[in-house]
Amino acid sequence: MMEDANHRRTRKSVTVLTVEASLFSANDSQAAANRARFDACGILAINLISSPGSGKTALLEATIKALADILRIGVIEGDIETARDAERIRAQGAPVVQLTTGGACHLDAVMVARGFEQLSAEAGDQPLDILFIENVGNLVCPASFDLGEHRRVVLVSVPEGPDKPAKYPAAFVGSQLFIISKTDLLPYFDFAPHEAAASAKCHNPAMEVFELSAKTGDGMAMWLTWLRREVAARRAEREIP
Amino acid sequence: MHELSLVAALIEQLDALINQHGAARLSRVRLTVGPFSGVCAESLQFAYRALAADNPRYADSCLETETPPGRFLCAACGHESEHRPETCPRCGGTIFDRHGGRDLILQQVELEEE
Repeated sequence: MMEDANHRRTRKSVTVLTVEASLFSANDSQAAANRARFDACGILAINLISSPGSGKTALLEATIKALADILRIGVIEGDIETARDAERIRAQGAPVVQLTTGGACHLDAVMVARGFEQLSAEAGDQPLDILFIENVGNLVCPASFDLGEHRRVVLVSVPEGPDKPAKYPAAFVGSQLFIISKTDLLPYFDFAPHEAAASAKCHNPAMEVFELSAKTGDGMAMWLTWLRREVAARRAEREIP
Repeated sequence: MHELSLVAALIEQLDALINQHGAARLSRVRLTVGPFSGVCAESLQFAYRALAADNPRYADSCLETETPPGRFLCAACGHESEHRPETCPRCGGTIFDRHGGRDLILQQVELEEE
């Protein structure tokens, strides 16, 4: 019951609708479209997730440098503000697009679609083999959003401590590869890589775990081999009709 | 705070429903929040109040959320726990499968006409 302008009580007409629609559905359908687009271009898309400062950009710099003669890499950088990361990637000679989310704590599939359009223009005629999507530094929110990637990689750096998989399981459940970064700092921190790995595998038994230092190059070979294997697998998949 | 962008998407969806049904306002909206959706129901409420506050079509409306319980099944013996144990109380296993939903679902809305 409600009162009208003359304070008379009137009965409102109420309609109850059963909707049963996912609030992630808009993102998920755009993510599926992104994936189809990447597939059509023969690109391996990788979503990199970690806290701020885990070394995502440093890993990309070292990766681009190491694979420059073999694979063409493009990068979509997600940050709340500044184009600093994109400048670091551009300095390595790779096409890059900086998405500044203006406060949003994660990238979504629509932003990535827009970023990929810009990146395609920047990359020109040369096709890309790998698209890295460096998500906003955050181990929580990005885990909920499919961007259309083929592989999701989560990083934890040695100074962050080995308890991150236990504390932030969603990022590990949804990823295929766990990279323990900045291993050159192991002598100075109480970080047992096998404990962090075991903790991650409790949540995701199929997960692969690599330990590396982008700074010294230790352990980079495993990661580079993994990337080349994934690119080859994607190409093979494409050739099978 | 990714709940804010989810609620912004929700309001868009609700606006469409209000228009589609020629309603004057929305009085109630009910969501199911999957226990593994990575979404915090309290933050959803906060974001909903923030975004619906100055919109007359949502004045006095309420957002109801329901979170079904998550379950953890031991991968080795199938023992079910409500919270993730360190080790399985039955067999000592350390690997658990999560059951109970990752999705955030708009279940029902109540629309009013004058």
